[in-house]
Amino acid sequence: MTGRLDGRVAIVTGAGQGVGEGIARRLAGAGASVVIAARRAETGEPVAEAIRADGGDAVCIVTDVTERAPIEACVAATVERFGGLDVMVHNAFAGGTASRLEETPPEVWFQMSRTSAWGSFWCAQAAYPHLKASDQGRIVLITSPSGVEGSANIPLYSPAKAAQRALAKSLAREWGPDGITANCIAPVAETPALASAFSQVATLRGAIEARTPLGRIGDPVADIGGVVAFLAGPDAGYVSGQTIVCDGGSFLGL
Amino acid sequence: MTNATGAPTGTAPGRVRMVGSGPLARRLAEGLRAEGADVVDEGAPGDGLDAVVFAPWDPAEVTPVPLAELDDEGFGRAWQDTMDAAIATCVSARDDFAGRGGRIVLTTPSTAFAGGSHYGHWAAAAEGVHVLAKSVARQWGPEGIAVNVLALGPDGVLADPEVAGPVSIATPAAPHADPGPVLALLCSPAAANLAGQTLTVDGGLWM
Repeated sequence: MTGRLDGRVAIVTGAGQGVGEGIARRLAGAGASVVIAARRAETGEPVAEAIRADGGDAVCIVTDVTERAPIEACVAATVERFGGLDVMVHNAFAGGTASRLEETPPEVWFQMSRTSAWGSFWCAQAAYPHLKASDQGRIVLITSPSGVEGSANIPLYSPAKAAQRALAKSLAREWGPDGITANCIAPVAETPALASAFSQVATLRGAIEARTPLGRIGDPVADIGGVVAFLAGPDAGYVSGQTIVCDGGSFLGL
Repeated sequence: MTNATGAPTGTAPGRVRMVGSGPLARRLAEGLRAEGADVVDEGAPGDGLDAVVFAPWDPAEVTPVPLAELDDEGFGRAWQDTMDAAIATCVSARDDFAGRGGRIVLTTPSTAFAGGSHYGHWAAAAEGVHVLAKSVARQWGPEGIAVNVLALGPDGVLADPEVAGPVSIATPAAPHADPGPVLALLCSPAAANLAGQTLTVDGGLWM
């Protein structure tokens, strides 16, 4: 297998399903060696196996992004196995449950804060020396259109996601001199989380498709993974501190 | 005073709770008083409260640290503590409004939008506060609670704005801008016509 990411090493958190899986598959398809950093081996291992079955290079490293130590261990294991790290993609997220702000359980906020803001901080920090050593170090944080426009349904999801955008801009400034880019993407895609929402609200799929100029919900591999592959690849070396919204043209607020 | 639809109107800021005790909060409180506001501190009872301003940013605390050297205590003090305080401020304001409606103004440095070198932890907190206002505006707007943002330049908010890097590479448009009158407007009944908006009073840097 050859591609524009040949010889590159990437970690994708939350890659056991959904958007993370799509990103991992696409990066591997472009030639990168990919670490499937999943909270559970039951979801992460099959993704790694599927990538290998397609001729790609992937391993699963069980990683809980709500704590610093597992992230540092994941990065260390990645570097030991592959000899370096070029691309850190932090996608993992948990806790997005609809609630009133005044009734949001502290543990729900804790989950969102830890997986999104804290997880981004720890992933970036753990990856930094290796991205600096790479000739094309890349950080990609997966945020959301809700991280820009706020959400009446999940009010704390938005600030948790907004933090990632500000962090990416700050890292773009701070680590640019090291040749590292930091960007965000804000996807809408077919995922288990969205499928669950569709099962609860029968009209939701039609509503999303109707508001989307391109008339469909994104594919995690082709539509989302492809953009991350671009940001991770040689063509995006002069793009930093940006958010690319990958949602079929629905959100135009940037 | 009410308008033709019976909704409260006018630009008098009324009784305002200032959340924050640093130089920024004091400066904003002075500006509000100059506009006729009755400014009370966090410990004052919520009776008759019209508006709440969240202004926790203190240059003594908002200090730069290279992200590679930032420890969990430092990230937590910036991101987690600020967000927890912002959420608590909003919830307690809603309680004190007691169904009468009111205004919440969350302040943020423009570092939220621009990012800042060695300020990633504070930029995350600032942008979190900025977007929290949008969520709360969307959720509580139907209750008559208007939530908006007053954004300020980094001077007087960040300990070292030079380290953060320029907010904009363009020429400042209004170098003598005063946030007081704008904040008073955001605290006043007239702000019930705004929701989730950000008014940036930073000398015309960020546009």
